Amino acid sequence: MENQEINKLTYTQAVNELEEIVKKMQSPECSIDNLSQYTARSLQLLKVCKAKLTETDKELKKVLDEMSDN
Amino acid sequence: MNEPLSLIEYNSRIKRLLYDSSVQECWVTAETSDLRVSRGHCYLELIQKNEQGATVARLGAVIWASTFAQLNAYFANTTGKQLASAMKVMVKVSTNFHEMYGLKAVINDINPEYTLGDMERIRREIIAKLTADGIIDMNKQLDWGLAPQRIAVVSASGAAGYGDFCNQLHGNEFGLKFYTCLFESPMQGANTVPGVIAALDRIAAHEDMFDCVVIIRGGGSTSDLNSFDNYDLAANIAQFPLPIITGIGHDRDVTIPDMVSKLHVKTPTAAAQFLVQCGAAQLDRLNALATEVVNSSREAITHAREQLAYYGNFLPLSAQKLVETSRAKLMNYTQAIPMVLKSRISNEGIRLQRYVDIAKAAAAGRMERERMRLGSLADKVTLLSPQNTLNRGYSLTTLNGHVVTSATAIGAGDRLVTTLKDGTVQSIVEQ
Repeated sequence: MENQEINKLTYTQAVNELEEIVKKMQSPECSIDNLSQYTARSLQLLKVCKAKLTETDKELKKVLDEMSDN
Repeated sequence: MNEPLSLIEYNSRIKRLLYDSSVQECWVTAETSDLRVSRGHCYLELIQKNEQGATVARLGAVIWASTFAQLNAYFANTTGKQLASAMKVMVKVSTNFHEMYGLKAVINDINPEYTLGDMERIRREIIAKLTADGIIDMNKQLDWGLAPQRIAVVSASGAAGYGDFCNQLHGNEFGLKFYTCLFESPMQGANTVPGVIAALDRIAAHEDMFDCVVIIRGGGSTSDLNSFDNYDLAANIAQFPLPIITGIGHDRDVTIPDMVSKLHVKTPTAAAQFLVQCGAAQLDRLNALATEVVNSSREAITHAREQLAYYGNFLPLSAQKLVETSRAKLMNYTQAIPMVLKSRISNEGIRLQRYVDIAKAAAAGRMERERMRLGSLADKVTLLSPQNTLNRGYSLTTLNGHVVTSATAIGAGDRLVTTLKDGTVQSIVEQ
């Protein structure tokens, strides 16, 4: 749903949101109706977080390579 | 002009001059530089700098192996540091001149208290000023986020340490991506401090593009290590808007920039390892969160299923219970109806009997009354009967079958019949 929006989150924002959702999912008050929504969002956030850690941001790399004194 | 001397003769004269007691066994204060140990002998430069930091005096020196082991142990025991470059020292020297190898100051004693005092004095002064300015802990209070990946590096480009840092960082086993940008600065020599400060200024202009700064020395001589103990550099690092990792000092040397930075590591490799560990910890955290998501979903679904199963079991039981309750109620009603009817019929019977009794009583009364009335009437009839009147002496006269009640109705010659109590007589009217 908010793919464009979710990619704009920083790693810290995304992982904090993820932890909040997991807390909600673990809460006894979490209804089965919200579960699929929470699961979908948390999987999206997990994907984004992992990508931020392990996939190269080519645009950022290019900018920093140009800036470097190397 | 005197006969010219051979070089060896001239050098021999110099050598003899140095036998003078004024240059033998003298205590001298100086700064060490380019110290190296080879085959147990310690070779170093004794230097003196002016207030501007420029070297104004220099003398090559040696501590022969036979003395060095003992001197170095004594020095280390007192100062906590091995004898190294960039230290202020007080040494007892005797200068010799060798015809072949030239001038050499031979060190045969050292006063470690002097070194300790000088190092500490300088450091204490700088630390006191940083503390008084209220900036000493500023960099330590900064947050570098959960996974610093965008790293501004201050180092010398060709330095081995920088290469080690990049290799360790970019070749990490977890596949973590890092973005490094080098801001070059000399890391030894007189230009080190202004060079690092200038590099930091350039980074600050692009502050938003980085998560942290790493300042690493490229290895090599430790002769200028003490130059890092500089107030301006420490103040720049302490107040820098991004957290800084320093790998300036050596194992035993912690410079003041190391003290004020967010994190101090011993080597460039250690700086890279730290950053990799931050990222790896986040990968672990993500894996743990992924497990939590799956477990939470599974648990919630299992819980919902259990709930459904419970309702599933409970519903037939409820229905059965309801049916049984209804049946029991019906049974009660069924049993109650005949009793109610019986009671009702009994009540009605009593009521009817009462009416019958009333009717019977009423009928008996009425019969009695009628019987009495008839009796009375019979008495009256008896009293009023003609026979009774006749019995009392009266008679009844009839003419042609009709009762004569008036004398006018009778004429002469009429045949009258008179009835008496015990028979009739006929008579003819004469007049």
